[in-house]
Amino acid sequence: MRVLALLALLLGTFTVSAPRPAGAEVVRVAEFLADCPFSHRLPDDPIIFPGLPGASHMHSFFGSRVTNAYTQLSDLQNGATNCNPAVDRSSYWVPTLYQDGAPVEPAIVTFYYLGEGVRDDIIARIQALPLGLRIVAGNAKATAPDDSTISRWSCLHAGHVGASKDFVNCPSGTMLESYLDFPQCWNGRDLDSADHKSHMAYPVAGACPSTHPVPVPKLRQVIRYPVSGDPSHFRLASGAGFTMHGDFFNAWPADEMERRVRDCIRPIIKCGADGRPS
Amino acid sequence: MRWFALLLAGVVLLGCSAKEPPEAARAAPAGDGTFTTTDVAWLQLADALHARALPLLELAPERADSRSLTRLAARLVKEHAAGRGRLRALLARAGVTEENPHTQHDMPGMPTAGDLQEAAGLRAGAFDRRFAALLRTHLEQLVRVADGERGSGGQAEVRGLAAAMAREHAADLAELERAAAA
Repeated sequence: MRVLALLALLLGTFTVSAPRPAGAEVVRVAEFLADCPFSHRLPDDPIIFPGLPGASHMHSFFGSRVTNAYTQLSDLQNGATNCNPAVDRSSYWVPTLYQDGAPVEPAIVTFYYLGEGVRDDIIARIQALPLGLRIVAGNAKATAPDDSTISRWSCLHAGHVGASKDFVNCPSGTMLESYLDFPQCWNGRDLDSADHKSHMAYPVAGACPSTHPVPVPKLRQVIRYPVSGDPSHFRLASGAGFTMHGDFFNAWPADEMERRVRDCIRPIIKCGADGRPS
Repeated sequence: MRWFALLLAGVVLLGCSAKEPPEAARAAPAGDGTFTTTDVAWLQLADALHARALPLLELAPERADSRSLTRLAARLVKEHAAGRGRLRALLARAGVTEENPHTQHDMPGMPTAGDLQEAAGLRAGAFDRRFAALLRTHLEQLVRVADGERGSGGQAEVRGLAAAMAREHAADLAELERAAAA
């Protein structure tokens, strides 16, 4: 009887903790993360318009509390952060979302660092994102959703709505959410580039292209806004939903990033914010 | 000796791999002729702002009630065209030849398609008020970003042009206020 109860308990545990394909005994996901809530809003962009305050459309900043038009790596390294873990001094920002003209800030903001997107043998040799790296993902200047639109909108707790390149109509009581994957292949040389994109590339058929041979963790930005309903009430500071984009300025201490890549990403282990198996 | 050579090689390697062009460019705004990321960002943004104001300025002759507003608009069409020429000449010198990434995109200080459509439907006093408001926003943004380049830019000629444009557009704003008040 006690054996049966134990077995039931084990089975119960199994079904709860393993939502992945049947037969998988452990969750094989190469992942660590940082939860970094809303910090502040400014019409600044230290990547696109460095030194030019007020030049940009409105941005909502996450993580570093100090980011403005003048921000350089040392400012992030010496500044405060609201990230969990607090060792992540990086800055992340997106165009501000407006509902009927009023800014809406997200309730949940998570930055996942993932191995997925390249073959397992390539995951095994992923390198840490270099300190000071700047990446812009998505297209702020898009005039229509097309094949190049990377970002997706969906609803938290309403998967049946499906993902879209533009805003979606989320049922009352659910949250509008935005997903954006950053490119995960680096040219191995530049921390930024003239268009702020061409030093990075997306993988092709599970491998990094020869022009961008260094595989790095894929940053996946997941943002949940406490709004739902008719998307005609929403706009981004950069325009329609398909103009969603994300900016990342890496200020993780090199040793903290390296440890997570070694312990979570390369061996394909799911870690939490502390970079330990979760 | 071999140990020393290894150390030397290590130092040289480190020196090479620590190459950070944008960071270095930003940290050293020396007037040595090198165009920094701030210089290029300002040149492109100012060029796009100037270009996007032209359709607004061209609405004035047929719609404005105030003759001083019409005169200012006509003068700004020429000033903006000349300004664009100087901005684009420096962009070419900086080796930036691709299409301006900001021209097709609504940025602060640019009248949008909706703004233009609305203003085009107005006449006389109603047009003057709307036109003055849109032009004020535009000129204020030009002054703001020129001030940014003046303070944070690198290349001496670009900073010089920014200083000249900040003065020019501040004078334009003063003239706009006089015209709007008349």
